[in-house]
Amino acid sequence: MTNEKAREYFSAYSEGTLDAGLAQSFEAKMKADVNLRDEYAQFETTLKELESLRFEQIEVPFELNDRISAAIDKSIYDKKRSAQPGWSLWLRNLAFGGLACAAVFGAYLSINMASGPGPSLGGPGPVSPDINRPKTIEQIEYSPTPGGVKMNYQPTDKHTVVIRGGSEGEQTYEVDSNGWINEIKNDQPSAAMFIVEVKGEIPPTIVIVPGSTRKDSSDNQGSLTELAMVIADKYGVSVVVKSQQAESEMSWTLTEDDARKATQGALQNMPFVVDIRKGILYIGDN
Amino acid sequence: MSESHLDDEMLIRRAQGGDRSSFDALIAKHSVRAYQYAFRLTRNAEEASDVVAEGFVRVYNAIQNFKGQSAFTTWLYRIMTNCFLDIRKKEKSRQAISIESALVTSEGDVELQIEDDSASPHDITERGEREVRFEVAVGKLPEYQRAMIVMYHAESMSYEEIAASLDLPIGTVKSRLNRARLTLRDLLQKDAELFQI
Repeated sequence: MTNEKAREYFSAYSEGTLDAGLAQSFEAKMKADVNLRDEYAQFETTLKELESLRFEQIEVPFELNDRISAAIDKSIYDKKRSAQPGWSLWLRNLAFGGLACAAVFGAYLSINMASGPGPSLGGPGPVSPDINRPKTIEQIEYSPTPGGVKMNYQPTDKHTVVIRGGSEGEQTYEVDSNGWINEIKNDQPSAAMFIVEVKGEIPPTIVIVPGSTRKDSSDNQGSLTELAMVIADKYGVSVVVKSQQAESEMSWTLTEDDARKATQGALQNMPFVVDIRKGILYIGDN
Repeated sequence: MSESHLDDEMLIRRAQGGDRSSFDALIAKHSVRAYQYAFRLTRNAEEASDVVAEGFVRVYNAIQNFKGQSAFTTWLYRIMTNCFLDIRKKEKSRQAISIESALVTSEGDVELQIEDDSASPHDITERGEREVRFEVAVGKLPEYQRAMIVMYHAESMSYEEIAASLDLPIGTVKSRLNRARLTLRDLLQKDAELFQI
């Protein structure tokens, strides 16, 4: 019997479950080899010490079950969100909307310039907006405020808006063509996440409001949402994320001084689009 | 009678039918044991809570697949062990990335921050020195060996239960557990030589 083989039998011999013939050979080997005998003695000491493990007192955090339930709720929510049809045009719509606005504004400006100073008169060409027609905002507009984000929404049809997060818990609003303005605020030092859900719209929008202090997190791996929180705190910019892949795991290095460039760099070669409009950084699916 | 007094089989059947309160009762029944197991593996309260929370999420998502061929606790241990191993794997890749992107200080020096998981002097004075060094040695075991040691010696599980939890043949469990004990003995021996215990 080699020493290596004898060591394989340490546990079985100690428990008395080693086959009688093998036990005899093992004992003979131990008698002949003092070093092996010492090794076995140390092994038995280790086994005795291992017995102390079961008597160790471990304090269980009082909020453990709440934490488990919250993790399950989040998992259910994420699952429901990802089970819905793909959303991909939101940011493009926003960008297209922006372009369309710029085009109308440009055309309006050129007419005014062509007709010279004074009131503009109707005539051939684009019609100036009718100020009597009720204005609608079919997608929530976000704009930064000191310590928060303002939301402006005026849909043609009636919609329910649910906001989760922050100290007030879940808030529900019924919004119609009369319009709705709301502000979400964060007075904490670190970034706060709010989930804004217009009922029937999938996925919901995640709004990250930066904390009151700028900090460069050492985190360089996590979900898209976690990246958005790191960016918010590092650059002091509010971030709006609308993605089916908000929980996608990724790693990043933020080297740029500018929030948009840094985010684009972090999400390079990934199926996301990044844009900054009216001081808000948008991340969406490409 | 509160639901936590019902047996696992009944609670599982109700949870499989979509009854969340029965699932919550399962959590209430098993979370303490799951946490103690996770803490013994991680030696860190925050990480242990993460393992348990993630573990129960997996249990919730897979409860429909539980056929009752083994005890619920055996299944739970398997899931918690996998969670622990997965979190550690993720943590290792994260550490690898942070070492690659070493910090450059304002003076232009490269600075690496490596976590020291050895016992603090405070730990050592508060508890018995040998006890602390023993815990540290258990913490230095490879994750899989540590899980086996904890299951057998702290959770008092039988070889059969460990085999069912880790989905391994009993012979493999016995030989791996023996190897884990030998590794631990070696670690303690080296430690004793270093500190002249």
